[in-house]
Amino acid sequence: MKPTIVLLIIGLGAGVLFSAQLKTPRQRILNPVEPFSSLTTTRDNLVAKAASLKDEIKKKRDQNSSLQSGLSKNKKNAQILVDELKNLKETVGLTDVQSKGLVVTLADARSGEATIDSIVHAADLRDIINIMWSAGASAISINDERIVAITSIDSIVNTVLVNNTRLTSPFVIKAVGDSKILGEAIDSQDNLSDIHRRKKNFGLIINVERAKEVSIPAFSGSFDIKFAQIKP
Amino acid sequence: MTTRKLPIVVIAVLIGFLTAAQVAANAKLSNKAITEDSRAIAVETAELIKNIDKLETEKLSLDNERSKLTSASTESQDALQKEIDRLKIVGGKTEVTGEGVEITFDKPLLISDIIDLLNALRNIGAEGISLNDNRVVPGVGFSLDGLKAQTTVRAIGKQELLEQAITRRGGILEELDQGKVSKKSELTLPAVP
Repeated sequence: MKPTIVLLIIGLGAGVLFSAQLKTPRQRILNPVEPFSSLTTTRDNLVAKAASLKDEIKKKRDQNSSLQSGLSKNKKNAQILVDELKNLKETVGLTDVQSKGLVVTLADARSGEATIDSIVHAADLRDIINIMWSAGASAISINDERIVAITSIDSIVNTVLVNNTRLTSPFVIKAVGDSKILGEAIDSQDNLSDIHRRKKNFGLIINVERAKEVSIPAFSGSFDIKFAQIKP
Repeated sequence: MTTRKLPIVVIAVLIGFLTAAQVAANAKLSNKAITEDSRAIAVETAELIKNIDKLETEKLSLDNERSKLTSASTESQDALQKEIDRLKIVGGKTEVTGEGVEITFDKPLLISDIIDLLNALRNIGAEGISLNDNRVVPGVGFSLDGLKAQTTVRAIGKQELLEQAITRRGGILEELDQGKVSKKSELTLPAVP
């Protein structure tokens, strides 16, 4: 028994050495791990910074909102402005919304090789958002990122960015509106033919759920207006 | 060595060879993954820096608004009015003017073309967009019956930046394979009716 094990070890060692001999000459390292890890560290730090800034902005917005409401108690003309501002905040997506609507979950196929047809693309999310607006949605979020006037949904290699924030599959798209109309628009083969084809043939996941209440958070980013002015 | 043990040695050599080859293959694969990831992470990092910049500005303007809201009543009402004006621009509740670009298409576009174009303009930082003289805001969707033979899109924002980003190689106009862009020192976009 013992000599067998010794032979086994010698054999394994010999095999590894043979393999090393056969390998092509060592290539120069084009992607050293050091810069890669420093890049990911920087990314993670920036993600954390953006999140903490969003928290701060949310708190400051809440504080300013109470200050604004406080003003209306003292002055009548301030009341008009405060009401107008409140309506505008709802219009642009600066308030949380809870109402009936639709929840669509879009996810990469569970099994099989990841191919262009089996994974979710930014363009799929853009198409769904467009259908939802057309079907009368009044507020939409993707993985709790509110869709607002300045929102772009972009794809970088295999990553999806919404409001400059990285989101990953599964994508949960919530819309406030008539759940029947919204649901029919999403289920329609005409509207989202490519997504339905990939569901059937490549296992892409799309799940549609009518909900009595969906919760959509306020936009926590910035509306940076530098060039546009109200026409005098 | 007995002949009985020879097969064991041969098998062991083979396993050793395959194990080493597997390790080498894995190293190659993970290297490939790093290449793809680092591109994505680099772009994501750039987007994060852009976003953090905007968030810092927003934070400062909220601080500024707060100090006005807590001061004399004329100043606090100014702060309210300023915020109202900003949100009116964002929400398309008013006619707006400013520099930007005008993009014209002589051939019909697909719905997906329009969706991608508007998305690209938002990504570059367009502050207001109109499509065939209709203001584009959240709540506006596009369907087949809305498509026309010719399309004009106007976007307010930094004109050089908008033009460069739209016309760059691999940019949105290359994707759409048509369209002419002109920079405008002043554009006017209608309000949402």
